[in-house]
Order: sequence, then C-alpha cells, then structure tokens
Amino acid sequence: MNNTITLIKIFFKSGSGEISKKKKVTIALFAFILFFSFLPIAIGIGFFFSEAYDIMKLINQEAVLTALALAVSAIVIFFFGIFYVLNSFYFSSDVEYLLPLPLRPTEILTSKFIQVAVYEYLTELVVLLPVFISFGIKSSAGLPFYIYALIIFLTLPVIPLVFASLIIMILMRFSGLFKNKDRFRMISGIIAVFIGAGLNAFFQRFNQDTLNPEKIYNIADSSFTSIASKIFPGIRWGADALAHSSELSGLISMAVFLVISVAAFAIFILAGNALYFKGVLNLSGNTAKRKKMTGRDLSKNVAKSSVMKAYIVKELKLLIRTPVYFINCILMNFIWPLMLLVVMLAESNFTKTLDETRKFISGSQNYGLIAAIGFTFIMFLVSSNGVTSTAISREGQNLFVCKYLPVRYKDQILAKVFSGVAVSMIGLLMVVIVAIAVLRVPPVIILVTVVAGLLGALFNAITGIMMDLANPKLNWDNEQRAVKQNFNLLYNMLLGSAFGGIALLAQIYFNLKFGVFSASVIVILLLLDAVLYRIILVKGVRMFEKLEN
Amino acid sequence: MIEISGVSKTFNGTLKAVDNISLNIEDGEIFGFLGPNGAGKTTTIKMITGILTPDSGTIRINGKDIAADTLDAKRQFGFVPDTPNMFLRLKGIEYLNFMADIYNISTKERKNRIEMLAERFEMTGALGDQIQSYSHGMRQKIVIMGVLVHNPPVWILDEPMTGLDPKSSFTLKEMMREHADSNKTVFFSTHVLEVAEKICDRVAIINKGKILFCGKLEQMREHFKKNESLEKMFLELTENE
Repeated sequence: MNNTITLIKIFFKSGSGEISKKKKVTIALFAFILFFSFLPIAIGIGFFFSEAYDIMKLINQEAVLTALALAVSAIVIFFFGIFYVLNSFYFSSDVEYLLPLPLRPTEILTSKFIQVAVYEYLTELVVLLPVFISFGIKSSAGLPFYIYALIIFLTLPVIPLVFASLIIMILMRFSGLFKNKDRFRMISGIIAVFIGAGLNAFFQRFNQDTLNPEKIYNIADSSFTSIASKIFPGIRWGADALAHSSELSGLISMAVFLVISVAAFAIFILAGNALYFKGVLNLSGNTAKRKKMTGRDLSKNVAKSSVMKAYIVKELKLLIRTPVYFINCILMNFIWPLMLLVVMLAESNFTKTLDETRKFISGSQNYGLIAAIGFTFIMFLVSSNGVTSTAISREGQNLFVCKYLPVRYKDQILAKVFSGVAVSMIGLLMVVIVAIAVLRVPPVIILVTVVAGLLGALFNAITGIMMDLANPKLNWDNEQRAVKQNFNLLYNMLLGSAFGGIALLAQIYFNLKFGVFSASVIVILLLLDAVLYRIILVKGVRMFEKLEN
Repeated sequence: MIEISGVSKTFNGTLKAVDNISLNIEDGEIFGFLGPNGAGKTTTIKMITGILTPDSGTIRINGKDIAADTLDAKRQFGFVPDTPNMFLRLKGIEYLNFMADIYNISTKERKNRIEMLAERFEMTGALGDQIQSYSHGMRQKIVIMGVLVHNPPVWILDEPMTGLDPKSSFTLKEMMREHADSNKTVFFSTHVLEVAEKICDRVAIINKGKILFCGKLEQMREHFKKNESLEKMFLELTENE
C-alpha cells in the first residue's frame, strides 16, 4: 500500500517537474486559457440537459437523461482510456525504471490506474459535471443526490477504464500490433484527432436538432444507451441511484453500482497480474531489421547536397518521425482545415448553407471580407503548428551539436525558419484545396491569400524562433516536454492569431475594398518580414551564440 | 595542432571548472587528456570545439582561432562527444550522409569512406536502421564514423572507448595511430590510465581545473615518484579501472 502511494506521488511529481515562481504564473495563465476554452462546451452541455429535463419531465421520463449522461461519459472515458492506458502502462518512460524495482505488479498497476483515473476526472469535469449540476438544480434534489453524484463522479471511470485496460493488456500480451512505439503513437494520434472531429460533429448535430420529447427520448433510450449500459454494466444502477436518490431503492442501486465497480477493479488486478509484466517485457521497442547494406543500397542513400538542404531535410525528417512532433507540428495543418469541413458538413441543411455561402463568396462586393477571413484563418493555422517556436527547444541536451558543426548560426536559424515555412505550406495547400473544391472561392482571392499567407507564415516562423531563442526549453528527458509543455508555442500562436484577428477587425471596421485590403496586408507583411529578417540575422544569431547548456 | 593558452571557465560565477590552462598539442601525436571524473576534461573539450566560450584565453586549431575564425576552426576538427545519443530518429546511413553534406564531401569520396568504415567497425548490417535501435556501443561507433567520414585533420574525442567492444576499441586505437602517423593530431580524454599508457605519445593530467602535469609517459612515471599529490592522482586513475 505504501509503495502504491509513493508511486502515485512520483507519477504526478515527475509530470510537473520543479516549478519556479515565473513558471507558476505561466501555468496559471495556461490553466486560465484552458478553462475558458472548455467552459463553453461545459455550459452548452449543461444547458442542453437542463432544457431536455423540462421536456422529459412532461412525460415523467427524466431518468433516462441521467442514463444518457452516464453512458456518454463512460464511452468518452473508454476511448480516452485506451490511449491513456497504453501510454501510461506501456509507453511511458518510467516503466523501464520501475521494472527492475522490487514492486509487485499490483502496486504498479494500482498506481498507474489511479493516475489515469485522475486524468479522466478532467474529462468528467467537462462532460459529466454540468449534467449533474443542471439535473440537481432542475429536480431541486436533496443532499443524497449530491452525495451520490460525487461518488459516481469519482468511481464512474473505473468500469470503462477496466474495459480499456483489459483490451490493451490482452493486445499487448498476445499480439505484436503495437510493438513499434513510434508507429503506435503516430497512428493513435491520428485516430484521436478523428475521434475528436467526429465527436465535434456529433455534438453540433445534437445542438441543432430542435428539442422535442420524442426525439430526446429516442436518443436517450436508443440502442446507444442500451448498448453502452450493456457493455458497462454499472451504468444502469448509477443512473437509477441518481434518479431515485431520495428513496431506498436509490441507496440500493448506489450500493450495487459500487459493488460492480469494486468487482471490476478486482478483475483488473487479477488479469493485470497475469498479463501486465509479460506484455511490458515483450516491448523491446526494437524493430530494427539489421539488413546488410549492399553497394547498391549505399549508392541510393548516399548523395551530396548543399548544407542548407541537408539541414532542412534533417529538420523535416525528425519532425515527421518523432510522433510527438508529428502530431503537434505537422498534423495540426490537416486538422484545422478538416475541422472546418466537419463543421460545415455537420450543418443539418448542408447543401442549402453551402449554396448560400458560395453565393456570398461570389459577390464581388464581399471579396475584401472573404480575403480577410481567409487570411485570418491561415494566420491561425500557420501559427498553431509550432515548428519554429519549438525549434531550439527540440534540440534539448543535444544543442551542443549545433555549436560544433561548421555551419553558421545564421544558416542554422534560417534552415529552421524555412522548415517552418515549408510545413506551413502544407496547411496553406489544404486550405486552398477546401477553398477551391468546396467553397468555390474565386482565383484572385486565392492568389492574394496565398501570397499574404506565405508572408504571414514567414512572419510567424521568425517570431516563433525568436521566442524560442530567447527562452528555450532545453532540459527535457521526454520529447513531449519540448513541445507540449512549451509556452513559446502558445505565445506564438496567440501572436499570429492576434495579427490575423486585427486584420479581420480592420477590414470589418473600415470595410476596405478588396484591392486596398490585399495591398495593405501584403505591404505591411513585406515590411515586417524585412525588419524581422534583419533582426534575426543580428540579434537572433547573437542569442544563438549565447545559448549554453 | 591545437594551441590552448591561458584558458579559464567559471560556471555560475563561483565554480571554477577550468583554471588558466595552457597546452600545445603537436601534429603527429596522440595526446591523452587524463583526469578523474569532474576534473574539467569535458569543459575544456567543449571550449576547444566552440560549444562553450572561455571567460579568458585563446584556442587555436591548426592556427585558426575558434573565437574569431570560428567556421574555419570548426572545419579543422571532428568531434566525438561523450554521449552518443543524438539524431536518434535518423538512420545510420542518413546521419553519415548528413555529416558528409555538412563538411562538403563529394558523393564518391563519402561512399568509399562509408563502405570502408562500416566494414572496419562491423556496422554494414545496421546502417539501414534508425540510430535509436542501436546499442550504446553501436551509437558510439556511428558517431565516430560520422567524424571519420569527413576525414578531419584534428580528431577530438571525449571518452571514446566507453561502451566499445574490445574489437572496435582496438580498431579505433589502430586508426588513431594511423592518423597521428600521417602527421595529424589526435586529442582524446579518458579517466582510464591504462588506455592512455597504451597509445599516447604525450599526456596531460588535469584535476580541479588545473593542469598538474604535461609530458611524455616516462616522464610522468618519474614525476609520480617525486610528487605525492600526483601519486595520489595516479592511484585514483588506476583505481578507476
């Protein structure tokens, strides 16, 4: 037991690292932004359920709503759980250090399980808490309801997580499916993005449907809920407990729910004892082929190119091959245009909206506004990829290599900037494809936004690398920290988006003609880029020289 | 050749890692830089290679000042750092090709060298795999190959034998000898006296940032007998093995 508690403490500590005062401020800021970006979703869910409650009350079927909420939460927890469990149980770097220690599988498993459950509470804060609150207020529930709600909030992740971990532990024990860590992380990252986009579309649809009792009842009592309750056996009892919180039957249901959860956890421990260690030990992470290189292979792989090209290719290869970098720096370019598509497709009368949009776009009096919207979106897109705003941080402890290679700092910085612009061009291309194929945006607007977008990408690439040169995050043992816990990425994204936002506001406020808007944006960006370019060549190089780790 | 004169480096304003050292490493010699852990070996090497800037003093490599004539000075040497964990997601062959590009080696030349080096270090089977799949020793070998592929006049190696299997270690020593015999420079650090005794023409001993001795091996043994503190150092160095 003591070991388990110690392990849990270590897991959470090693996630956060030492926290300085300055860092505390940034973390608070980050938490603040995070809080406000999820708040609308939470409020939306809360309002939806509160309205649904009124309607279902009419036919005395409000209990199905709690069942629906628990079913949705359980499924979301389950999907997230698959990734959390894989990452935490198998792929996290601490596993290698834990294996040789005299710990029982039960201790490692329990502490990892709790770690994952805590992550799931964050999910529940968004998905489940608003439902409890609105349900509690609407039904003017008494104290037992809130006590049950709290207990269910804390224990709901158990059953879906047990399912997720059983599936993963069996897969990891008996199949070679995920032997390759890198490939797994890449694929799971992509799948997660698609699930995210899918959920988004689902909620969009949900929100648009007019609320009527029949429809809600159909959704709530649909095969969806019943399948979910069949898969996760406790859900029905949990929902019962909440619906009848003031009666004895509620208390019994609550007890049954807890018994099922405890039993599920026991099954997890038993299965884990049998499966976990062997599965982890199978994971060598080594997928090398060790094939002898012939003279021909060598000729294919060995060819001279310029220093600049070699350096850019190296940067791009590392970006593409390192899963965390790929997901955060490359995949981002596909996600946002894709999200845009999903949002449009999710409209219930998609064709009508599309027709109207196309009509709006083809009206030449709107060109200025359309170009401004396009430019703003592109600025947001290119600033969210983080290639340059983490370029120095990604070097980490190996920064010294940049120092002894006989390549001027200027050239190294430019190579990093160009690799950032190159990645941004993928995003730009995606937007252009959507704009031409779906929205039928006129060529002249495409041309202007592409030119402005490229200049904007350069602008953002330079500001990004300046930020990362000024304050790089070099001390990390895990690539995730170089990118995901790097505030430079966030700051640069805010800066780029703000730039785009100002352009859009100016266009809306002054209602500029298309030509005027395009010319001014392009000229302003040209000037800014020229100035920044000078700064990077002088100040940036000096900052690079001074960096030591 | 490497000329170090009056070089000092202090960390955080208090910790004097390297204290006013001067050394001349001539062409045609293998020079061993000896000292216990934390003596200042790596800091010195980092200053020679331009990774750290000295607080005072100058360093010249084949006559090029690393501070003033940085790029030309960097082209003079190849450097094997003490931790070979870099570019882990590049394949071995891609890493070698990258290094050859950086040092402007022609396609034909690099191909010949890679073939020869892969053969000598028994790495032909591993070149097509990512470096992260390599063992510590193999990573060490690929970094050494990355240096030798551009055939620099000055070799600077930080603890190069660590993690190498006996055969590769032997090959490397052999190559160091060949290199020095062709009137070029090999500078390497080690905390193992035995290694130094076997291959070095001259050694310097550093402890707590100061050079305690610099000269030929026979002189060193003489010196040890007279000087008690050096003798203690000597014992420490031999005990390390």
